[in-house]
Amino acid sequence: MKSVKQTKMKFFTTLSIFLLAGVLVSCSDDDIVIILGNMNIQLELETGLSDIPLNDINVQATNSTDNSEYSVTTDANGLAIFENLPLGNYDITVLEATENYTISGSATEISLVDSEIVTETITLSATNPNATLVIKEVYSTGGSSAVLIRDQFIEIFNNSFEVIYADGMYLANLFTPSTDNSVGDGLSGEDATNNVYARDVVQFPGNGQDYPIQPSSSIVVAFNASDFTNELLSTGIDNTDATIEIYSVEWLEANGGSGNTFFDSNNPDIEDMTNIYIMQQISGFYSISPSRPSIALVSADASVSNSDVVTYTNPDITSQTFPLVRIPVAQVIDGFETLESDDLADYKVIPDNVDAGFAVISPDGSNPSFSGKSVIRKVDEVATARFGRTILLDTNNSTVDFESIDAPDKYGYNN
Amino acid sequence: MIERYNLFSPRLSFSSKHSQFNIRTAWGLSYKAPAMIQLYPGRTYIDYTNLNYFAENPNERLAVVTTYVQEPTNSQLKPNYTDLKEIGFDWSPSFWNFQFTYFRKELRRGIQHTDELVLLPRQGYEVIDSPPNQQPAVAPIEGELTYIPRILKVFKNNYNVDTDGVEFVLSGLKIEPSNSEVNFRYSYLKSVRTNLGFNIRNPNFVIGDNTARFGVFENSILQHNRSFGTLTLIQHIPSLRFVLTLATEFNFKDYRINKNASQLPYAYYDIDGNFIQIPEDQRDSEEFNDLIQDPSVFDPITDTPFYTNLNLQVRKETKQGHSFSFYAYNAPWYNPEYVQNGNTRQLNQKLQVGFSATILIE
Repeated sequence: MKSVKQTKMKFFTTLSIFLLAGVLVSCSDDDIVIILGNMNIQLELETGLSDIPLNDINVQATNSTDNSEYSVTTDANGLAIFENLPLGNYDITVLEATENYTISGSATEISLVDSEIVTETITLSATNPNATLVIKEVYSTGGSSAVLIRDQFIEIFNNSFEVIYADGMYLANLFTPSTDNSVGDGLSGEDATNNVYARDVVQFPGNGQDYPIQPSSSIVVAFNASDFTNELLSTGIDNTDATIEIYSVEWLEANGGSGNTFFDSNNPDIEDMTNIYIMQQISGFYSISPSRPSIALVSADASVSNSDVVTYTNPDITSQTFPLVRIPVAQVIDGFETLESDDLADYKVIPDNVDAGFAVISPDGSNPSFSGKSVIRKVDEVATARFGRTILLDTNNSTVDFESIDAPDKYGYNN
Repeated sequence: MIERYNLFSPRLSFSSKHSQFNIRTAWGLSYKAPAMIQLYPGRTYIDYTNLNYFAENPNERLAVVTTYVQEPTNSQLKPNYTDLKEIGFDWSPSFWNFQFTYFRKELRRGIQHTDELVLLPRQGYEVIDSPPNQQPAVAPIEGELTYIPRILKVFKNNYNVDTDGVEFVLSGLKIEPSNSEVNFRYSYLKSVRTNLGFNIRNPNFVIGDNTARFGVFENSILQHNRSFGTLTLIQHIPSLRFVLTLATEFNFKDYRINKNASQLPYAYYDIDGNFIQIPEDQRDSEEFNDLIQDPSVFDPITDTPFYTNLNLQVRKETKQGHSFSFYAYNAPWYNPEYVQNGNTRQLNQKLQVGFSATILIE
């Protein structure tokens, strides 16, 4: 006969075996959870890009199951090493912005399924931050005393990396006082530091995608899309390759003015800019000053109505006034100003926050009218080398950004 | 009918002489028929473009232009008439003659230009065939008829002038020892000119399509005050049969003021030619800033400073009775300048010289 004490001992022994077995089973489950993987992300630049260092760039991995995020900074060779990542699928993103460029790249669904090291290469693209349309060239002087100013044109260049549509944008010919006065001197109560003032305005027609400007390419707005190369043995230029032209004869006549078919011809194969605003005092045709053009490219968000028209009073002849269109600088995409000489800086018409300087068409002091000279924006050599495509200098300072050339160079920068 | 063809011009005058004094008064009414140039002022040509077709080949270019010919026959014009009243006296002692006259002249129905807005039809054209090296064939576009607004000048009997004048003449004042003679004439005129016609002006600016409006303005009343005189010295040299005449013009005052001239329109014509009144309290509002006129369209005040002008005439007679004379107006070529409304203006801009000879054939 077994004793009660023996029975109790057998029970505790059996219980201890079960508990020990339970402890051993628990220790086996913990070993499976701690298996991790490593992932190496190698960054490289897209073909054509250069001068963009790849070290110290933040690379982000996002687990597509639980959205947990992991960040690593690249080494000197552009390699980001993620160590001990939980197994799973990851999306990789790279986005780094500096003052001079923005680089980006991504990869999706990179599987980390075992303890092996996964290596992935991501090709980075780069863009020029804040780049947009710029006025590339203003040819105002006219080809000769026979052509006069009929072959004028304005060229607009896309400095960005995306197609931009000019539809609805405005070109404003800015008012320049005829005497040595600042434009603000004749505009009582106006904030001339935050507005520009136009004497005539035309607008790109289109339904939103009719006038694309490809990256690093340009479009040309001719005052007459005509061929002036052989006219009267003159040395004008051929503007039949213009994107669009300005034509106002019939519009002016329908509004009580007089058109001028000599200065304002119509090429039916080239679309016309929409006539938006003109002072009756200059009724006849659109043109820009051959010696002192000042132009603003204005956003399609702008509008022109009676409430935007202000009166400029000549400070020297107070009975002489000019109705001008007020355009806030916030709506100016790009501005371009010229003066006849360097010592006239006090008479700039574009505020410094749009254009801090000005170009001079004839730095040698010769008369620019009918000289064939043009003013062209310089190439940004550093950015062009970095991005592998033509980027024009855009410091919002025409003194720095533009140079005078002896003959126009229409479409000269198009890649 | 009588109003149109009445050219009856009565005049009554009365004078009464008392010793060295002569008192005179007069009243007259005169009619003046419209001049031929006013009745048939000649054609006005207005060109506008129906089609302006450009081709790279100059031989293929074509412009279709309409010339609107306005040939006015202003047969509706009536004669203007002038009512003149004057009163004065003469005093003629032995050593001089003095004349004083006051007059008032009222011109009515004066003929003057006034503005008229017309809408000229413009037919749109299109190119229907463009053969190489030839001008294209064109045809009117059915239904594309628009209108071109234009402001024309037409003659109307819309001009009134009221003039008050004072004039005195001092003559025959002789200085016997030197064979000299001195005359002086002085005039003061004040006139008020009123134009009752339309004053239509193009808009200051145009925004977009179909927004052009043509402001209608009150014509100003022009008041003109002028005060001037002439001092003449005549020097005889009998032994040489020579006469020297020096005349100095004194331009004391030449003052013009445009009264009631307004930069604000009281109405406008829209692009379709509809006449629309503008409430008085809205005429200076932003809504009509395309119509508000630049002050330079009229000078509010023109005030010429005092200046003189010297004229010279010499005359020589021969024993045989022939005479030769030479004159020079503004002989010293004196051109005073003054600044008016910011503009520098020059006076005495004309220099006239002449020579004449009288040959006596017996």
